[in-house]
Amino acid sequence: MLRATQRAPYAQQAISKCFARSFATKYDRPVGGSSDFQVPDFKDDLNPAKNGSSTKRNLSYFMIGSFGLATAISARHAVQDFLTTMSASKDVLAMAKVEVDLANVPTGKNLVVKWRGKPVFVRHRSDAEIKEANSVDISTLRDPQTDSERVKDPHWLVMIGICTHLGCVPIGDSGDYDGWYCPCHGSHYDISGRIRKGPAPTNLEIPEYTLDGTTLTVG
Amino acid sequence: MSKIYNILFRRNSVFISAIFGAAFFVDIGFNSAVDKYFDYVNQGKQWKDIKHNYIKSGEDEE
Repeated sequence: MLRATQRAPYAQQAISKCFARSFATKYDRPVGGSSDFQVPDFKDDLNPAKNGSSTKRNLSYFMIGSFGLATAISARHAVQDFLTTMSASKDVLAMAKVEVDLANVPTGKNLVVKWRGKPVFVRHRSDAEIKEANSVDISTLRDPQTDSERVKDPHWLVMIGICTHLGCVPIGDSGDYDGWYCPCHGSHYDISGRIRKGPAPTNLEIPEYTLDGTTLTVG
Repeated sequence: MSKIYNILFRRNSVFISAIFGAAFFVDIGFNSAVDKYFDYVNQGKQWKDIKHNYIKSGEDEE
């Protein structure tokens, strides 16, 4: 409709002629209409020089584009608003974090913190324990992980205290590898929380945490 | 005028991409403009304006 100008001139003429003839003869008024009926003149509409104004055309496209733009923006916001209803609110997020001051935990001691209903083990490891954790040949492990993959600061081991077997809470400072021992089915974890013996399939899980000086934030 | 047509409107693909591209920037621009206006109207009333009265610098914000 807006491309009238692109039509070949002979087609224009043919159409004009066709209209002109038909109006002039048969259809100069509606059937049964009054004799003073004036057939509208479409000549200007068919004249490319008069109706092909690019200003008009550009305005049409501009309006179409503007409404498209508005629609796109509102659609984006509708989708985003819907998605935000699914995310956790700020008070929930604030409750989902635990902050612990580690300054009072002496070397070689464990600390258990509750985080999202689960126990989190924090161990202040001694240099000997760090050395021991790094001396293990990881190719012999069931769930091969180096000690450096499991800690951010080698002196502080932070992990979720739930046995990966059936979810008991392992006991600290015990077991064959001087790490953790799960009394339920006898899984032994070493000083890096890696599974060494027993039925558990994987190492103890490491939560997301940040260490800032002596402040530990879990979550 | 026909230059605009030839560049922007002639191909529908270009037209549509232009709409979405413009929507992206107009959205951001509009939001920041409204935010700025809001801050201007509420000068001195918001927490970020009066925070320095309560929190000394270097202290934790929480």
